[in-house]
Amino acid sequence: MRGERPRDSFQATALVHEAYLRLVGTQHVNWQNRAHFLAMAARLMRRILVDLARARQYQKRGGGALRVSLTDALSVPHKTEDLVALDSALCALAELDERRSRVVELRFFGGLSVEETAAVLRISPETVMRDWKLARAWLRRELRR
Amino acid sequence: MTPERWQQVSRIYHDALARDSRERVSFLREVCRDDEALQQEVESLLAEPASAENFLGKPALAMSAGLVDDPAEPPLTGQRLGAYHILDLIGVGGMGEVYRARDTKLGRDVAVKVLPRLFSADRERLARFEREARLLASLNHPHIAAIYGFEETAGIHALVLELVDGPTLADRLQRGPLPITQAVRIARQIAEALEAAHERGIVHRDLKPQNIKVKPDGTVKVLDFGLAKAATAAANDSDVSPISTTSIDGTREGVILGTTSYMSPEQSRGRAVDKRTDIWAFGCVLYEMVTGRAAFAGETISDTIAAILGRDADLSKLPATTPPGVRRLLRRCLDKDPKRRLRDIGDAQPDLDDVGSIPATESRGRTTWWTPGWAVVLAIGVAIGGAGVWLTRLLPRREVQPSFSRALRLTTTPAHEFGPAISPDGKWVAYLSDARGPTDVWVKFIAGGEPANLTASIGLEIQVRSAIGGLEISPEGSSIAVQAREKGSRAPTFDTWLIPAPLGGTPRKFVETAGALRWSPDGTRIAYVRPGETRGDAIVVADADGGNPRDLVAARGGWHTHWPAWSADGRFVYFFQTIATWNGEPSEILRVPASGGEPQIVVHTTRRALFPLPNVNGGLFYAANPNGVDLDLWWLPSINKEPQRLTTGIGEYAEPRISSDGRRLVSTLIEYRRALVSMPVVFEESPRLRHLTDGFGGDLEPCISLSSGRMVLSSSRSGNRNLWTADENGTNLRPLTSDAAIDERPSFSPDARQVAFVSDRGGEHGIWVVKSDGAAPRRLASTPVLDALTWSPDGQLIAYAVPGGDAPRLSIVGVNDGAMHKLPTPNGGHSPSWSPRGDVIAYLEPRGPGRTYLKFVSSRGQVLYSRLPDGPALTNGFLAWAPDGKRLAAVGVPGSANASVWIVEPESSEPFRKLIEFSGEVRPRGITWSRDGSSLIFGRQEALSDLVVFERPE
Repeated sequence: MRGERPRDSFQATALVHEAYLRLVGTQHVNWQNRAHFLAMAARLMRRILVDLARARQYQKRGGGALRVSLTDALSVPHKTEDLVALDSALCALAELDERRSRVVELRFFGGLSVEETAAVLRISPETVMRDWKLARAWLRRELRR
Repeated sequence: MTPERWQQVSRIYHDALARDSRERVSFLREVCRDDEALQQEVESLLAEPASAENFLGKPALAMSAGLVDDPAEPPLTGQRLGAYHILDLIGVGGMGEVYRARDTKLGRDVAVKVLPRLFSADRERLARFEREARLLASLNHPHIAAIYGFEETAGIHALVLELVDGPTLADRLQRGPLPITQAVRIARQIAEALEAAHERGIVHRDLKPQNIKVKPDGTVKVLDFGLAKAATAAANDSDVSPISTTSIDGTREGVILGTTSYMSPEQSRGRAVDKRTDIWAFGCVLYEMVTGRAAFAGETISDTIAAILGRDADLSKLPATTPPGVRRLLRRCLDKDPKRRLRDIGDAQPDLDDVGSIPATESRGRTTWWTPGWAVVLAIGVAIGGAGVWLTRLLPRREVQPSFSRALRLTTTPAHEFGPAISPDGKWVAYLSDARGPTDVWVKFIAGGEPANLTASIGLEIQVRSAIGGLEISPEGSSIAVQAREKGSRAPTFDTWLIPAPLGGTPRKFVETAGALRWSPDGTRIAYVRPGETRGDAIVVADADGGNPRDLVAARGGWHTHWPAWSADGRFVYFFQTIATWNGEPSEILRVPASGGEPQIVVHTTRRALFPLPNVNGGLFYAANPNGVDLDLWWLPSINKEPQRLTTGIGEYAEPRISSDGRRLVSTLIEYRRALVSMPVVFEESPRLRHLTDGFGGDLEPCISLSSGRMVLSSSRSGNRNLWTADENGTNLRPLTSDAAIDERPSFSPDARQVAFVSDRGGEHGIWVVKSDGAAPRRLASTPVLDALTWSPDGQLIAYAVPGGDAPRLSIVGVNDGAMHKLPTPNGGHSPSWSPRGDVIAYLEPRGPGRTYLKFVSSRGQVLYSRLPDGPALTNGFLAWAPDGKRLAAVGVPGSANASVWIVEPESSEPFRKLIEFSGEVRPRGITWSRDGSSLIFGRQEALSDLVVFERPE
C-alpha cells in the first residue's frame, strides 16, 4: 500500500539538530559577538550539508540511490549540480578571493541577510551586494563547466 | 588565475555592469586592450543571466528537506485504517502526516496522525511511544485536545486524536496582534490547560502558536501535549531531554527556520527542562498575542537562539493599553533564570484577571479567523539541544550497526572535561576536569544531580594529559583508576592510583610508572601503558593484583603507543600508535593477542585513527579523520569491514567509552582554538601576548622568512589544512596550496623562493617543496616526518627527524637531488633547527622520562654543544634559532607539566631563561622569530572540551 521509502523528516531534523547541539554546546566559548556566532553557524551548516551530500553520493547502491539534486533550489536549467560541486567551486573561489567566498557561505549556507553578512564581514551592504552578484555569476559559470 | 588577476577581473566586471549593455562592448575592448583572455573571462561572467536571481537564492537549509527527505509517498486518502476511514490530508508535521478521518464505530470525525515508518520500524521505540501515549491519553481537560488511542493496522502506526476545527493561533497572528481582552481570554485557557497537565506531572515542552487552536466559538485547545517527549525521550529517564519543534518554512524566501522562538533558555542550552519551560513558552505566546511579533525572533536558528540566550524580550513594544497585570506576568514568565521565573502557572491567573480594570471597548467585529487554504507548514520535529541526534539515521542501516537515538551533553562548563570512563551499568561517568582549577577526578550521574569531586582533598596530583588513556572504572564498578602522583612530588613519571567509586575515599597506589590502565572484562588481568615519551611507550599485561607483569607491546622510538582496550572476550588488546609529531599523523590502530604475539594492524591511515573501543556485540568504535582535519567517531563492523562514520560537524570527537550493556557511549567533544600569537622577547611577570589572527581559522606553525619578511603558516581556514602566506603581522593572508591533502609544517628556504612542507599527498607522508608563488609543488622525499623541517643556510639541504628503533633519528635530504642520509647522532634526536648563520643544527635528544638534552651538531655529525637543562623540561619540544644565530627559542610540551617557552643563550652563564609558561590545555605549535629578533610568533592551540553521552533505548 505504501511506497518503500516513507517520508521521513527526522533526518533533516537530525541535521539542524546536530548543528545546533554543537553550537550551543560551545556556549562557554564566549562568542566575541553575534556576528562571530553567525559566521560559525554558517561554516557548520556548510560542513554538515556537504558532508551529508557526499555521504549520499557514496551511497549509490540499491534502488534508493539518491543524488542530491539542487535543481529545484538552484534553478540551474537542465543541469543537475550538487552541493559537493558547489562546495569545491566555493573552495576554488576562496583561493582567488576569500571574502567573496565567505559572502556566499554566509548568505547561502548561513541564511544571513545582506545586512547581517555585512556586519559579520565588516564591509558595507553595498559591497556585499556587489560581491554576491559576482560570486554567483562566477559559481554559476563554474558549475556549468 | 592569480588573486591579482582576479581583482582585475572583478573591477572590470563591476565597471562594465555599471554601463548599459551597448556601451559595454566598447568599454571592455578598451580596458582589456588586447588581453583577450581577460576580456573573455569578464564577458563569460557578464553572460550569466541576471534573471538567474534564484540561483543560490534560497538558503541551503531551506532545501535540506529536499536533500534528506525522500520524495513524498502517495497519501493514505481514501484508505481504511482499522475502524477509521481516511478522508483527507490536513497537515504534515515532524511526527508524520495528519489526516481527517471518520471513526466508523463512534460516528465522529477524528484526526489521525500517521507515524513515519522509520519511526515505527523500531519496536522498542514504538512500545515506549505507545506507553507515553497512554499516559497522555489519561489527560482529560476541556482545553487539551484529547488523545483517543493508538492504532496499528497493516504495519502502519497512528495516533488517533481529537479533531479540532479552526485555525491555529499562528494563523491568526499572521494578521497582527490581538485585542488585549481577546489575548487574555486565550491566555487564560492556555494557562488552565497547562495547570491541569502540570498537576499530573506532564510538561508540554513544545508550546507555541502552531500548537494552539482557537475554535470559532472562542474555545482554545492546546494540541500535542507531551508528544515531543514521547517521540524522542526515554520514558523512564528523569533527566528528560528538552524538546522543541522547528519548522522549515519553504514558503518564505530567506527564512530558514521559523519556530525555535519559543524555546526556553535552558532548553536551548540543552539542559533538563521542567514545567518552567512551559511557563517561558506561555510568556512568549502571550507576548506575541499582544504585540503581534515573536518575543525572540531571528531569521536563522542561530540568530534566534542568540536572541533567546542573549537579550531580554523588548517590553517597550507592548501597546500602551497593556494592563499592568499582563506586563508583570510577562516579566515573570520571561525571566531567563528558571529559578526566578514564575513558579506555577496557576499563579498567572490573578495577573490575567487584573485586566478587568481596563475598559473593554474593542470592536465587536467578526472574528472569523478561518482562512481557507491555510499554509501547511512543514513542521519538522526537532528535538533540540541534547536530545536525539539520530546519528545513525544519516547512514544506511546495517544489522550490526549500533544505533544511538539521542545525545546528551553531560557537561557544559567553561572548564576542560576529558578522559571519561562510564560505569559498567551505564549510570555514571567518571571524568577529569579542571573546573576547580587543578585537574580532578569527578563523578556525575547521567540521570542528574551535581557532579562530585573525588580528589579535591586527597593529596594527589593528576596527570593532565588525557590521550594516553583517561580514566578506567573496574568491572564491578568499585574503583576508578587514575594516573597521578603524590602532591609535591618532583618525580618525572606518574603512577596508577585507585580511588573508591563512585563516592571517593582514600586512594592507594596500584602500579608504578603506569597509565591507561584497563581491566580485562572478566577482571582477572590488567593492561597498561608504561610511558616513554618520544622514545616510545610499552604496553604491559599483568595479573589483576599487578603481579607477573610482562611487556606485550615493545616501545617504538618516535611513536606513542596509547590507549589499550580489551576485546569483549578478553582475547585481544587493541591500542593505537601515533608518530610523535605535533598532530599525531600518521597513526594506526592495532591489536595483539593478550597472551602475546605479533601486533596486527586493524585500521591504517595517513592521518589519525585513535581510541579503539571494541563493542560488546562485536565491531569496533574508534575516532578518525580520513577526509578531514578533525576527528569523528567511526564504526568498523566485524562483518563487512566497511567503516562508517557516526558523527559530523565541527570539533573533534575523542575518547569514546561504552557501558557494558552497550547502551550508553560517552565521548569527549573537543573544540580547538588555533591562532597566531605574537609575544615580545622580554622577561617579565606576565608577557604581553597579542593575537594576530582569531582562533577560528585554525592557524598554526608560522615561519617568517628573514629575507622577504613574509610568513608562511598552515591553516584550516578553507576547511582543509593548507599552507597560507601572510605579512609578519598576520595580515594580507593568501593561500599558497589548496590540495585536498593535509599540507603542514611549512618552512621558507633562506632565499624565500621556496617553501618546504610535510604533506600526505598521494596517500603517503613526505617532504614537499613548492615555489613561494604556489607553483610547481614537488615531492622531495617519501618519509614520515616527526616534527619540524629546517633548511641549511645555503638552501641546499633540509634536516628533519624520523621515527627509529628505540629513539627518533635525524636525517638530511638534498633539495636538488632528493638524496637522503642519516645524520650521525649518538642517541638519536628530533626537532632540528638549523642556524641561519652557520653549520650548526640544534636538536633535542630524549634520554628518558624528564631527561631531554639540548644538543648542537654540524651537518657532518660533529657534536658542538650538549646540555641537560635542569630547569625546563623540553620533552616533546621544538626549537627555533633567532635571526642573529646567537639565541634560540626552545619550547617544551612535557606530559607531566604545563607547556613553556624558553630563551636559550648557549654562551651565557644562565643559558635557559623562561619566557612564559602556559596554563592548562594550551600548547604552542610552531614558533618563529620576527625579523628584528624582538618578538616570537607562535601557533597557539587551546583545547576546550565537554563530554557527550550517546544513548540507545532499551
